Amino acid sequence: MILNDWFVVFRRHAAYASAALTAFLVMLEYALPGAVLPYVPLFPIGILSFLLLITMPKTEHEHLARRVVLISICVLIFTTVLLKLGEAGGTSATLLIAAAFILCILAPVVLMKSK
Amino acid sequence: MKLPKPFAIIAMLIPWCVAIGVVFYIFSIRFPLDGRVVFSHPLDGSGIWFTPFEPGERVTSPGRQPDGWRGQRILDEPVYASARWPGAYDELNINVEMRTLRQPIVELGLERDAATRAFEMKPLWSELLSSDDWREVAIDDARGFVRADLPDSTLLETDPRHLMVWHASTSDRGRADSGEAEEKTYEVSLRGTHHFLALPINDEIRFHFQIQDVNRNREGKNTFAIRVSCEDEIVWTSAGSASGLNDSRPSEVFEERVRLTELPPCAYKLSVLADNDFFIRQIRTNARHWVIGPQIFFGDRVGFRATTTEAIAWTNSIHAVADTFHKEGLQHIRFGSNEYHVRETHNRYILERAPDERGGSVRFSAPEGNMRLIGDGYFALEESALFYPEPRRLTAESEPAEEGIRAILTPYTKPVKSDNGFWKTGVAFELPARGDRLQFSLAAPGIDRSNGAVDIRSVELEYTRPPLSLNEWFLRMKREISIALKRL
Repeated sequence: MILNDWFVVFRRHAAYASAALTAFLVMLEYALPGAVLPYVPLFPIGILSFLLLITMPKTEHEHLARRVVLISICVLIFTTVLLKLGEAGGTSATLLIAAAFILCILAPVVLMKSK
Repeated sequence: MKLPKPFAIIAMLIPWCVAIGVVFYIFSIRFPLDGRVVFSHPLDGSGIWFTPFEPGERVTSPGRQPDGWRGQRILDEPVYASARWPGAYDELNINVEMRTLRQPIVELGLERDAATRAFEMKPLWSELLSSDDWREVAIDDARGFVRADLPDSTLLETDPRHLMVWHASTSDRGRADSGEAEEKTYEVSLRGTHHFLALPINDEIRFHFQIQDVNRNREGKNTFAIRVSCEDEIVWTSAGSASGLNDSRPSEVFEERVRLTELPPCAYKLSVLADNDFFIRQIRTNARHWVIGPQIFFGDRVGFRATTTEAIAWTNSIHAVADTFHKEGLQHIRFGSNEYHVRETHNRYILERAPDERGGSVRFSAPEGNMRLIGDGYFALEESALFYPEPRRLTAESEPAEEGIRAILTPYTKPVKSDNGFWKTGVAFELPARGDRLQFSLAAPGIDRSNGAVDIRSVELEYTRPPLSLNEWFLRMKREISIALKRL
């Protein structure tokens, strides 16, 4: 029983940590091309984060829905920026990245405060 | 049952610590403690740090080649590649595994100005200097190669007749003549712009030019200028015109004088800048060593004298190109012992020395004048005046031993033999302060004529910088953040 609870907590934090890490690394790669991709398998980490988030138990979903949405938005925005705007950049891309970065910093803070 | 707090903290810390660890790992690569990071991969298209060479019509597809090896073959030049810029590093050493086929030299350049596509080229490969006939030597700041049968001190050779350079410069430019200065007069008919290089004698340079404008009935171009410079620093200038508003006949011959005194030692460049309607009819100088080049244009004497003067010059050029624009210039010309028949106007004739005349000077003659010559060396109107203002550059056509060269100044280092005829060689570049990608150009001069090839099997990129103190680390971080913000 303890192990099961421990795993639930571990899994929840693994989901948030991997989502925040994906968001941070995507932004770092965008800002400094070549700083991340050659060393870290960014897309597998992103997929792992996504799978962890969507396979959480229902109770976890109810408790953590707000935070999951926040993190998902971060990942979604970064993915959109990377895929659609990519190298083109521009003011809108910069604003989106800034907003997503703030969200990805805030999400873990919100999670800690809600405990 | 509630999970005990220590267990909950551990469950929470593990994933966050892993995430923070990944971030630290990224930063440790970007800012390694020893200031050195190395990326190595074959040039078969699988590497992420160095792209294969382009454009496609000058290279083969990277990967397995028809004769079995993996890499990329370069068939024409120039070709371009790029590398990821991994962070704030000061220097890049590129080491490549390569071999050549009928290609004597290869150079690699790093782009310094994207707007003008200007590259800083450096020596990457020399078939000649990789042989046992030449020995690598370094004495103080001087680096280069000397002929295997000569002592190391030959590298300090200062006589440009025996010295060659390959992407290097000599510090010893201070040369001058002294002693009795005998003034001599040369009757010539030199057409258009000419550059004269002369050593001062007794700290003085004295040139008197008799100039004539043979076509004053033109607009806008009837001015000339004379400029004297030392190592690209302008020392003296003058300008003038030979025309009035309604002049149509050739002008009277007039004299322009250049007299500069108290000159420091240097090979001074005296440029007469004019269009092809200006003729220098006579030169009077007391210079002992003075040459013309790389172009000398023997014109005719129409409107000046009734007779034709034979064009004669001595040259230290190994190769030259000759052409004529008038049918009067169709004739037999001589370049050393080789004779050429100029049959057509506006056609370029390539002049080469006979194999046994590679060293020293040779005489050029064109009985009918009317001949333009562009050489890879310089020309003089008498043999004793001929000199090298600066050492020659090693080119794909150079044969240093036959040309009397004893030492070659270059930052090139002798490559190391690998297997299957490949060699490991490298080149170092100082890196720009900032950027996203590094652009490279590979030059293989003469590869199209020789039908040669350059095979590259692998590339190793070594980025280095000095180990950082805390203060320097913050400066580097500031630079990185500045780059990141500009990128965003």
